[in-house]
Amino acid sequence: MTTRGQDIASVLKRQIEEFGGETSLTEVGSVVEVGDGIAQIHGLSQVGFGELLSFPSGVVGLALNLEEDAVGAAIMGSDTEVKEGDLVKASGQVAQVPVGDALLGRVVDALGNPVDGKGPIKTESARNIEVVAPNVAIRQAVNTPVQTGIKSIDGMIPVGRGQRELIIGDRFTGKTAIAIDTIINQKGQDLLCIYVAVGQKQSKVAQIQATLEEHGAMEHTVIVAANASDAAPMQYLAPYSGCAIGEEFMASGRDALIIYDDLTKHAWAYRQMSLLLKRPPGREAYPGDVFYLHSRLLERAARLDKDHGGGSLTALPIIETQAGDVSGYIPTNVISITDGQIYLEADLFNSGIRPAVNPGLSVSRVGSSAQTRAVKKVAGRLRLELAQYASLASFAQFGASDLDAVTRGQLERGQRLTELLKQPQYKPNSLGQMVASMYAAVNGYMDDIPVDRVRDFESSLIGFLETSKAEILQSIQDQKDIDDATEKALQEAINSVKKTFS
Amino acid sequence: MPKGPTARRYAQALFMLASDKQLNDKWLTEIQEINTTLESEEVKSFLSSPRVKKLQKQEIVNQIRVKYDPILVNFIGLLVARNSISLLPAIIREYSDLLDRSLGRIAARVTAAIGLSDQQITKLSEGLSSSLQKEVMIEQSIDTEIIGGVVIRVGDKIIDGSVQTNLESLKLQLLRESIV
Repeated sequence: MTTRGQDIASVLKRQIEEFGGETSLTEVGSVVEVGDGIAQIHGLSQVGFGELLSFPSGVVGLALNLEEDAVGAAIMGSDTEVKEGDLVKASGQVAQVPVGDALLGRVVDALGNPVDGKGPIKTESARNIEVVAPNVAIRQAVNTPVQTGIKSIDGMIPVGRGQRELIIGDRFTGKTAIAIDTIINQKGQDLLCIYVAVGQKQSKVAQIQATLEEHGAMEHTVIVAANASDAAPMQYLAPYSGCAIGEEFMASGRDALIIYDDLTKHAWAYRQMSLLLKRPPGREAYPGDVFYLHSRLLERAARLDKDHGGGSLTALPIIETQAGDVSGYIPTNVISITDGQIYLEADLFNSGIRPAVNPGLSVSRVGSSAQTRAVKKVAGRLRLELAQYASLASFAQFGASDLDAVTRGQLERGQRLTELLKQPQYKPNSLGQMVASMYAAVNGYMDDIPVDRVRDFESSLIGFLETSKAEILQSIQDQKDIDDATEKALQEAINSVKKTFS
Repeated sequence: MPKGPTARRYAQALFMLASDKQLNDKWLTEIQEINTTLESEEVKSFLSSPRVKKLQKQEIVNQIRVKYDPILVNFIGLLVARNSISLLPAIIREYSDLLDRSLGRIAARVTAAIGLSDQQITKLSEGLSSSLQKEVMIEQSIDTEIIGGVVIRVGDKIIDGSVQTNLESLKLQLLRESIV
């Protein structure tokens, strides 16, 4: 206790000694009007766009509207303590967020302040929240996969590192679950994750944090939270802050994954701010630059070339649709910006197909070039067979008795594949597990197994491989390919499991 | 509608007229006098009341015609006719700003905890003049809240050398830095 007391005293002494009576020229203005989280400020004639302002109550603001006589500023926090006539000081710098490895495992707000009660975060550097996306010259094509650990996604809609893949669907269709599973699957891998919660319930964010901690996935994850109770400007800023944190990882040559959950609420927050700043409303009362709002954010996802460290930032934005309407304003905007979408359907979800990925409407525009050879070998036919099954299934529901053998075969195969792609939450598959079970399904080894027992068979196959034939899984994992020897061993393993399976 | 731009346009028009006649300084004092005359609550409410006929208002304005420059009286008359008499204080502010700018002058407000000596004021004004490249007119005010030092405000800029601000930032810095 004494030493600690002395420590404190010595630190204080040093700080007081070093404390100079520094004076600097500061730009000031006074609050003319305040309300709804927006302040109109007179003065501040030299302030820059996006510059941080400080109010006497300690709250910070963001200068967003620069007019002839006044500056419109968004207040990042409580506006109740900001009064008319308050002196507002310009900081001379744009909004920044602390970045670095110290953030891993932490929950921060949109300005990088810790909100998880685990004490201050010691970081060495900070990055501007708003930056221009990396240009064409320093990027390279997507060529490495993000293993989500979800069979239906890694198999049919592969996501590459540096890609932007939209997760879209109605409320309660498992959008966040896909994101969380993906984070969990990165445990012990080289992909760092950032989960940005925009306008979510505090309880949901706390639950996600608890889930990630439970699965040991918080060590490689940063959560940036701007909850429903936070001011709209904080919700507006959170995705950009999260992105800046991710860019630091990318700049240091590592791979990062960022999830924006969700951009619909982000657009709402921006709409609120814009209307209160008296910017003219456009379609659905969104401001004219709502497209740019998301395009500039998602453009920051990139895969840098070797000369620039070769790092990457993969973005998984989430959009919530209303009653399956993907033709809404914000959904179409984000669909057009991203490199594909994972479309989740409430009907599939309710009929027990979870994750409720609709294989027909989901696409990945660049991911297939990033798929590993092993997955490509088994999953190439998966998509095709499922598409054929979907077209036959609606036709065959009127009676399967008078169908020819080929059609019946396709239907049977389709049912089994659909069954195989069902996957419980928080149970991501490793590459080896995924390839082995899909290999068995597409090569017809499961055709004589009853549909309702496909998942049992899958788990006994995986269990057998893990306990007695671990070298097969390891070989797939290491080579990311199935060579002839492995294929043969795998076939033997499947056959022996089939013999004992009943 | 915001008052700022409108007042600025009126002030610019008046200033252009004044510059043509080389009467800038004289008009400023005159219009400030008129403003003090009109400042009483009764006159103000009379001139801005929608129930009073414009003719009656103009008569009031005409009564000051003998004392001041006719153009200024016309100006006041125009403001009354356009129901914009409430802009007058803002117009005067803009006008004096324009005047200062045209003469290369700038007003600075110096706040200190105690009254400053003439010598200190001259020193401050010299220092400011050389750094701003403008003739600085110092306006003094006293505020014991700042404890010590001075705060200088020039337009939208502030040079804060007060003890109070320094203590505040010391407090913030101490709170921010964690003890190792």
